[in-house]
Amino acid sequence: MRLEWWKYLGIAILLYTLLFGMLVPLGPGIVEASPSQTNTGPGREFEVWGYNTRFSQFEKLNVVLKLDDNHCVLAREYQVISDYRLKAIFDLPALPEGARSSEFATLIIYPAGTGTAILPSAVSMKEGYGDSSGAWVPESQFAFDRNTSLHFPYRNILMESIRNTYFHVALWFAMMFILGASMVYSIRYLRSGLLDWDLKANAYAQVGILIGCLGITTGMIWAANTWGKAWSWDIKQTMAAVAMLIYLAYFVLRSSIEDQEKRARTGAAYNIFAFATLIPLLYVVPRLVDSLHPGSGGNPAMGGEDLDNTMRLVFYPAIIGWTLLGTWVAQLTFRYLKILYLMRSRNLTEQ
Amino acid sequence: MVRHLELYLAHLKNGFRSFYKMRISRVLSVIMLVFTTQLLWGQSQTLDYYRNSGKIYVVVAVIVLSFLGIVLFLINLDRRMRKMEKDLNQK
Repeated sequence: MRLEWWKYLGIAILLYTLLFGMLVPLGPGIVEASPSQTNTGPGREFEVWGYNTRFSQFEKLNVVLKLDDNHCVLAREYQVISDYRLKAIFDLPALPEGARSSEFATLIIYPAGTGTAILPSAVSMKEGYGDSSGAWVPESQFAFDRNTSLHFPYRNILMESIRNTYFHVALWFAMMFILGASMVYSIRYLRSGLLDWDLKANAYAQVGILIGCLGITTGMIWAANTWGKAWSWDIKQTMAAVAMLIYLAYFVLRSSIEDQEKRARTGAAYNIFAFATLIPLLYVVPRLVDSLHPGSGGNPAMGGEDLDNTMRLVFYPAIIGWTLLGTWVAQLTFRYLKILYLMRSRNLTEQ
Repeated sequence: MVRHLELYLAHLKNGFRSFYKMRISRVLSVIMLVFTTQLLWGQSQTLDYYRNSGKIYVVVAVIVLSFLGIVLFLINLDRRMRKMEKDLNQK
């Protein structure tokens, strides 16, 4: 009996991804604190815009500016304007010894909703004028609660589009698996000489490239709304485009050879080469130079705040789901190619 | 942009003479889809709107596009199969 259940499993996983990925809310965040530059001193006023925050629901908010673990300052007073807006007045003490002439402070508000809202590098502080009654206190004074409710992390610029991790990013991972399968089939063809393996390699490469093109297009939409430009010649964008072109050449190469056997052999050899260049193009080169993508300069691409544990609950299944769907489509393509091949060898079609 | 769409539709309608040409024209279709979406997004984008909505529409667009891409591939496969079946019935 043919194994069928994995196809439905793939669809079920994708539905789970869609529901979970879209319905789980973001944690509270801070969009902006204004002004973003200030001098130290008494009575410095800031206006703060929150996202997914519920400022007015809490009796007491802790509005804190933090330089480092040992240097935090609590707002002297604050005024909640709405759930998403408040004004806070700080008595900023003089910059600690050893500080640079201007230091970036992180703005922390808790409780802000379902947890703590944080804006890194919210305010740039310079040594100011006037005596201030404020004093630096260590962060351990405040019991910032860990966000325990189910939510995805709020990141500035990304905001809700962090959910694209389950679609754009997962698509790229699925493409790697599908193109990897294509390469394995090419190797099998070269070892056995059975044409079925070559047809499979061709079908999987077609679907892999479809997913790759979708990855580039969805990435462009995402980039247009976060980086400001759809195509900014970011190293990973460029390398992905190069990888796609290398694979397009695979199809051009195949279509330029008439003889079935010769085409299969040349194609298989080229396919192995194409996959071998794909890995360094997508995973090695972008890490060596500066890139807008996470993971540049030797950082782990998928770690820390880019992918927290709640996101892992959706991201890993999403990869499996997209891979299964891609495999399904590739198998359909293979069955078509096989029938077409059989018909051609019996002169039943001129296609 | 309309011109791109027209070209793209024309491709779907009558671009396929042979099996080999079909493959290349499909590649062209995908490339055109890329440019079409880029033009669409370049024109309709206003930063404030997305800031207010938390950029959730970016996610919706990405999902719709991934879905559409796979469906278009399937439609194309469906067409290729129908053509094959027609040949099979004729002979």
